[in-house]
Amino acid sequence: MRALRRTLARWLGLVRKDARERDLAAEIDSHLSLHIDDNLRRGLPLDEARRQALLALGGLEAMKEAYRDQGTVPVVEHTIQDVRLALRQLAKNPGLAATAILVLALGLGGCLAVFGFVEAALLRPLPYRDPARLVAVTESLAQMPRANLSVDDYKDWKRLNTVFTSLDVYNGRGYMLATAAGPVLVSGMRVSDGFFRTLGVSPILGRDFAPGEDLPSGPRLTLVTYRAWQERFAGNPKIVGLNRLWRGRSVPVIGQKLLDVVGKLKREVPAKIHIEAACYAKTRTRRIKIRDQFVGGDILINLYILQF
Amino acid sequence: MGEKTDVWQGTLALMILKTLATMGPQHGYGLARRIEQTSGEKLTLNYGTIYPALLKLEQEGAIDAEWGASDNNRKAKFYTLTRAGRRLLAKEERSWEETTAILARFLAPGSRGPERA
Repeated sequence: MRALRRTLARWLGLVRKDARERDLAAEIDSHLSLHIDDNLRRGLPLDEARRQALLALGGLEAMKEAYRDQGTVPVVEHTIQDVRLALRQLAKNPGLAATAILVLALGLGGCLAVFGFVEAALLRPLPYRDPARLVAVTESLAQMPRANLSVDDYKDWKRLNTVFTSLDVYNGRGYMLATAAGPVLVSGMRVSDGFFRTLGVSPILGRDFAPGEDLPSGPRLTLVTYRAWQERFAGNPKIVGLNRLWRGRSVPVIGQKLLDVVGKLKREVPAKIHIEAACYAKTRTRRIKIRDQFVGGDILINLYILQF
Repeated sequence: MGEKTDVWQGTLALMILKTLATMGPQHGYGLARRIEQTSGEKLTLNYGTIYPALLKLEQEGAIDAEWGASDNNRKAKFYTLTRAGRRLLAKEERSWEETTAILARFLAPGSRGPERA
């Protein structure tokens, strides 16, 4: 309790420092006067009385220092002094100050950017149901190691696939979104019907794409990301079933996705209309080349294991 | 001068508290003089050292300080023992008595000194 009181008093002492200094000065004055009076009473001449009083008091500066240290929290006190000195020096030399601040800012910014990337790419797991079993597959040609896949090849791969639990495709592109302020370009993806089931995510409103809805004859349907729903449609719960989102087209919205996956891919609006062409590798960390066994030819496929 | 002893670490606060308890409110100079006199002039006390010690006791709530006028009408800061100060004094006195009692046993005639090889 005593220690607590003392600590509190010392922290308070930080703010009423000047008053305490004045008080101490007055107290020392009073002390010396009293002592000199005593000495005079003992018959000493004034000079000697004063000299002896000062001697008895001891090292004045050392005492003031001890008093100051007792009165505040020395570490904080000294830090404040250091900061003040540093600021004065910087103000005196603006060129140096600007350079120092710039260098520090660049260094910190760089670190932050690198950490942001590492955290997103390496530390945080992908927000899918089973990220360890998720791989990205691409065509691989001599001229283009990570080539897109034609829709016919995709169909063949899917039909002959014995390796993967499911195989789905996506492709990014821009869309013109009709808004009150006129059409706005937003990024989206065309995906095959089982795309979100393969990733293991589902809409919070509406429904997922149904099998067969990715055929050229199928309807044009859209799933929007959670962020797009909040930011572009003001979180309107009646968005499901809304038509004419896209300029010049009537595209019903069938659900909004709480899809961090899309955020990761930096796609604001995954839109499925129908597959036009398609396979596209998402990312790479470890790259294993396997010989494709099921298309019949000698096509090299890159298997990218997502190790995030 | 050579026979005088410095004030032992940590005992100054106890001396201040005890002096205030016996003499009532005192200013810093009065306390320092009184401590010297009580010791039979055997202690050398830099009068200045009393002020940080007083500040510490004040922060702990053991004493109160107030400006007033001295006997010869000088302005001086007077220190008074608080109730918490009285409790602290009692506690410190006990603890000091225990310490000296323990030391006394070691120093008493007949107590065994270190074993000789």
